[in-house]
Amino acid sequence: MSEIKSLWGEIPTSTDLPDLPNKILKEQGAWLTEATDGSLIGETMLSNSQEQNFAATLRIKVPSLNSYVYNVVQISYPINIYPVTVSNLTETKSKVVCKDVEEYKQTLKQILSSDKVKAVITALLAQVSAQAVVEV
Amino acid sequence: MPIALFWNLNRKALGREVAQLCKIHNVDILVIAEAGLPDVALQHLLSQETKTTYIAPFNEFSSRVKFFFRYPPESIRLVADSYGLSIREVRPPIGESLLLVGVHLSSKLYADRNEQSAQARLAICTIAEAEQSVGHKRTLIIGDFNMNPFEGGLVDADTFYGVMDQSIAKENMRTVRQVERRFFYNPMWGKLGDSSEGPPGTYYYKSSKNREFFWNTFDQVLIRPELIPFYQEGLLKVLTEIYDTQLMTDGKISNDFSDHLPIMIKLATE
Repeated sequence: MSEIKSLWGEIPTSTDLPDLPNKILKEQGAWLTEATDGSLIGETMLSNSQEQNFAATLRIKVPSLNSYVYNVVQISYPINIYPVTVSNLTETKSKVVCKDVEEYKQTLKQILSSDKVKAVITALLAQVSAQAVVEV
Repeated sequence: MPIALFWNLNRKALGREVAQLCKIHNVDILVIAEAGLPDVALQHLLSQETKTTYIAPFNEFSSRVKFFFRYPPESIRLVADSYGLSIREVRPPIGESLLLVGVHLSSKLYADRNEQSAQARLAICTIAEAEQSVGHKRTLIIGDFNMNPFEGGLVDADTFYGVMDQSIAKENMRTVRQVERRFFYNPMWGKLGDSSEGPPGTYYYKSSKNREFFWNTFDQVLIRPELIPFYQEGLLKVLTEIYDTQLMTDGKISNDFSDHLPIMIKLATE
């Protein structure tokens, strides 16, 4: 029997793999959770997408407000990752198609640091604070 | 018996007309899209006209619909907000609680069929999670879907799954491609066309397209099977008049008001 040789070419190692858009979204969620000491939880939810293979939504969850949920941004992307379609779910819904990771991060930054999102975070923290006073 | 009214005001200052409708129909839950006036202005008009207080809690979180309630503040609970979708739990002082979903999905001017269906899929995920959170499925969806009852975003199993037949809806769910999908009952199916009671639709639009329905029923009410026992035919209406004022002229929606007609439902949950 002849020696079996790989016909696969070079298979990437785990260190070569690109960051998935979903992972970047999760990281941003974790930032919010940490920055608010867990008063607001940034979490991602996988959702259905017929047009693309993968879709996820970043939302703010508020444990002390009966787990109130505020959806912030939705992404969808194909198996080869880019382009990523980013939908702003906070105000006037806009879709941006990002051709690479830099464009994707820039678009996320625009949404997450927008006045609307800031206003929502401020209002939610105020509600959490008021709730804490009532419970004391 | 909670009475809910929805009206897309087309950004017109129709506060007086809204307040009059609330007085005439004894409305408990008012849901507005494209309000042409600030919440406080509408609350003032509501108070003047009805001599009762309507609260407007948490509207800073809802981008596309505004809620006004004739209930005490402790009766309203924040549940979820997303683009075009806001969910509140309503616990009236008397009777069963409701999961109230106000919707105003994207217009066909800005979203094609696929985009509208994608919005519907996200909406139904958020609603299902909300039902789990509150622990019941007495869910009422009311608003402007910008889709007709027969379009994919309303009828597909992975979207609202709004069926026209109560007996089918009462089967609760169906497994489609190994996923359990829960029905909504959409009584607005019974409001299509000029053989139905009331106007042929809730929104009139005429273009030069090859396919044009002219009358559309974008404004709808959907209820989960759990609410069907509290619903009776005749308790859902498309409104066409305010006292002696007609919202329609010559068989079309009058330009003097909104380009949508208001809809109203009564539920006997008390």
